[in-house]
Amino acid sequence: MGQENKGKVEEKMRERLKRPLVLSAESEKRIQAAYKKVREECEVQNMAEKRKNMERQDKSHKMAERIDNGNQEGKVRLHRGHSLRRMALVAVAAVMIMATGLVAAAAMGYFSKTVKEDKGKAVYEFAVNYELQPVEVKVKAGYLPAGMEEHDIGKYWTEENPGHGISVSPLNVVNIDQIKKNLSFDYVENIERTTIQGMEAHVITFQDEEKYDRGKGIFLFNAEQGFVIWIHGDTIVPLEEVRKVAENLEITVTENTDLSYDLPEDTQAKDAMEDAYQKKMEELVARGLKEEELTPLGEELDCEFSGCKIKVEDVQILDSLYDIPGYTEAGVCEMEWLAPWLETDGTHKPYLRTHYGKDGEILGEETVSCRFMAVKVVLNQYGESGGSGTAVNGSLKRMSKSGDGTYHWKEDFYLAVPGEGYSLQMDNMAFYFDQPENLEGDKRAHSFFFRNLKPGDMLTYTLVFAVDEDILADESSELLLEFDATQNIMENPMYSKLK
Amino acid sequence: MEELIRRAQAYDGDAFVELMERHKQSMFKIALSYLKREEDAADAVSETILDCFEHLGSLREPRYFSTWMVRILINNCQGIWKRNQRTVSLEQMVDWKPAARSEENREFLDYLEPLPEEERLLMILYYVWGFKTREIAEILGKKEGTVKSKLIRGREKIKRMFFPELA
Repeated sequence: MGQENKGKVEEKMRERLKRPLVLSAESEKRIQAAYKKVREECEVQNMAEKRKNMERQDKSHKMAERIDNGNQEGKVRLHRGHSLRRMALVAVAAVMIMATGLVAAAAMGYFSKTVKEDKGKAVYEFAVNYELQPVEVKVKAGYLPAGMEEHDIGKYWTEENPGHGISVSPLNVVNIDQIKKNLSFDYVENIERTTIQGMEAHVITFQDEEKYDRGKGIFLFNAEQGFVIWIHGDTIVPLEEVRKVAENLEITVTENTDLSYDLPEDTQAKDAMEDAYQKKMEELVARGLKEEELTPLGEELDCEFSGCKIKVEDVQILDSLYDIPGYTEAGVCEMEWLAPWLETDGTHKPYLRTHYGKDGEILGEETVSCRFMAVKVVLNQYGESGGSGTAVNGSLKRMSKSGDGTYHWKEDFYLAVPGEGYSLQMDNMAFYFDQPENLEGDKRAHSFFFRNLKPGDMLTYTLVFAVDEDILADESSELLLEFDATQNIMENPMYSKLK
Repeated sequence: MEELIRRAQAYDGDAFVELMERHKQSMFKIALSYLKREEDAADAVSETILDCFEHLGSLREPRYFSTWMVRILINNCQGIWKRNQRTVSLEQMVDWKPAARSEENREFLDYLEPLPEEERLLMILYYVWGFKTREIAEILGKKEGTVKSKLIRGREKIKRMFFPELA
């Protein structure tokens, strides 16, 4: 066969095989059912994450904070919860022991709960009645404050305050089982026990709500029918409005034979994985970093994961943003974050921050000045960079050097008072990159700090970080840079020195 | 796509669904070429969606997402095939024949009809997914030379049957 004919055959085959299939309604239904399970699991995980963030914001979990700040692994680590497939399979068995229709609850109902309150901390624990088949619960807002609309499932806000409003999260008893020993709130001001829509309700308010942007929340408990609903209102939403949303929720409970509890072995495996991870993190934190694990200024760090070598060539501390060589406004990732904190001469306005101890206790609060740290980087791409390109950003780590030469993460930490709305140091990452190529829409939002590079490409660029003046002046600490391109793992942490 | 994967790893349900939707057609083609019955293919794909979600956190390198997902899909297809060997009745087996195929998809299945199972899979991986022969070899645990020779053989069969004028 001649090359021409071979090419034609290839072309025709590719064209025919790539023609889209027509999927039947039944196939689509099965796929959609899988998506539904995934979305439900995401909702549960996101709620857990939100709670974790709240705890983090409340500074009560220092170790978690340190892990997140100390190692990229902490950011990418995911436990997928439970086996959805197993759940679907065991559901069949569960259905067999279930009475027809929605099961009338036994004396205990679907669950019982205890609330322990101590010094501003409220811990909710649930005990689940596994003999009852879980039911599906769905909610629809029957009342919303003026101008508020649903923008995502159960998430409502106004156009003026995107992302800040009210969220409603229904939890079926499977969800409750998953968080049964892990639901706590810090800095609780008051828990008002009341009744809403005939259900036991807890209206939770928080200390210094506005300053720390803690919001408020309402729990609706329905042990008889097998669900809990959490309604959270951001600080900008008055409590009475959140209460009205709770009072007017339209709640639907339906049978769902696909719902079943996690198998004990899944839960044990998940706990074991989390414990092992936690232990590893603690070991790493205890041993610190050795000098040889740090890449000196001016030397290349091999980021094998991203197929590139990165070298910090120069670091400058500047008073004014405009002193950055070749400053361009296009390099600012989020002008909305920067503009409120920039004086006309390009210097950084002071901001209010809180100083926390290693256990999250508040050590003090002070107004601090900031300077800009411009880091000149040379990146050599030697391999494939992957779909989104090569990650160019990094995050600063505040370390102290021990007598034996090892570096340890500082145990105290600083964060802007949430009410300040200060985001320039978010995750200790750079807010400026002088050579972005993803400048529009979603690409800008997700990939500003990424560049598409081919093997053999070299990129010299500047990152700028906002750093508190006293941290820069602190002789007991040293700032290291962890590049995103390293995709650091615990066993082999890679950091770059900045002096 | 890596961005979608990262978002999906962070429990962004929309991102995960979009990721799966992008691959749905290609997944179905593998499953259908393997299992032939659309309902089985739908089961294989939906199981793969759940498995991918469950284990996505363990995927450290998003660039390997496609090969990783295809391996899961093939495992699920094999599992369903084995289950069917034990449980599918003769009556159901009859439904697997081309007569039961939807008219719209007949062309796709007819096209693969002359090929044995493994060659069908190779054709889909090569022409639909766009994997290189080296990647296919890794996915299937075969030598690259074997993959190449089977691809040539499959191509020849299709050529003789559907494009005799080019033979």
